[in-house]
Amino acid sequence: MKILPTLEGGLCIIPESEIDWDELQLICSDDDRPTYLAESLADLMDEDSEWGEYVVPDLEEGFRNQTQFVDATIKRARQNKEPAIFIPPAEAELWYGAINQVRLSLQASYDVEELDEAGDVDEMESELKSAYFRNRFYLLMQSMLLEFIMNKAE
Amino acid sequence: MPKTTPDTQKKQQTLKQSDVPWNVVVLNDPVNLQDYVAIVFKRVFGYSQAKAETLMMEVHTQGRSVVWTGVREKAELYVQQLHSWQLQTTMEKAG
Repeated sequence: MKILPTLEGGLCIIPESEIDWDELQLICSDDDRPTYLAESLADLMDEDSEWGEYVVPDLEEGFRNQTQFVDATIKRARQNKEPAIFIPPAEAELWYGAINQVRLSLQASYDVEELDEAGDVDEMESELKSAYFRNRFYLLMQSMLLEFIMNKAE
Repeated sequence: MPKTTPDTQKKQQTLKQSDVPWNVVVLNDPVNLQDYVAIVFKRVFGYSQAKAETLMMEVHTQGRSVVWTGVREKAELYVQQLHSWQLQTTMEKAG
């Protein structure tokens, strides 16, 4: 997979195999992820705040908008004859947010920060290895979104 | 003769409670990137680059940072915004 900056100030993702496409589609693979994230953030508030009742639905909707947008963009691009995904500056935050949801989810399930420090990746079980590489890949995408789009917009 | 009527006393109590300042506290997490957190602080609070970076580094090195202090309603609004940017945020009474 290649990720390149574009002249208009965005990014272009060029998947080179079916595995690349699958990896991208995994960004939006879990329909419940927006709910989990919104509820986990609400857990940081005390009960008096009634966060669960008043704020969580809005948060959930916002997170779901991010994943649905990215999912639709990837599926549409995959059907093209010369498939590539363009991320214009105006859509960078939606992508960043959707990818962040996956990384938070991977961290919660596998503690990928620990995996980072574990050393020998080849020794890991396949599920952990997959989580490790997915996290590294998504981290790279986020770094590029920040470097080439979001930092420049400030 | 009391200096204030019960109604006035109640109003003063309510005023005192809502006057208590609240801290908006951002907690460290292993996922959110440093540049991103600084961007969020600039967007949400309108902080300068320097202040946003100082607070971000405080979160990173000390595990938490009080990023704003003020009335409860506004603190709740800021927490809601920071949650929408996926930052681990809570609030506490100041002092």
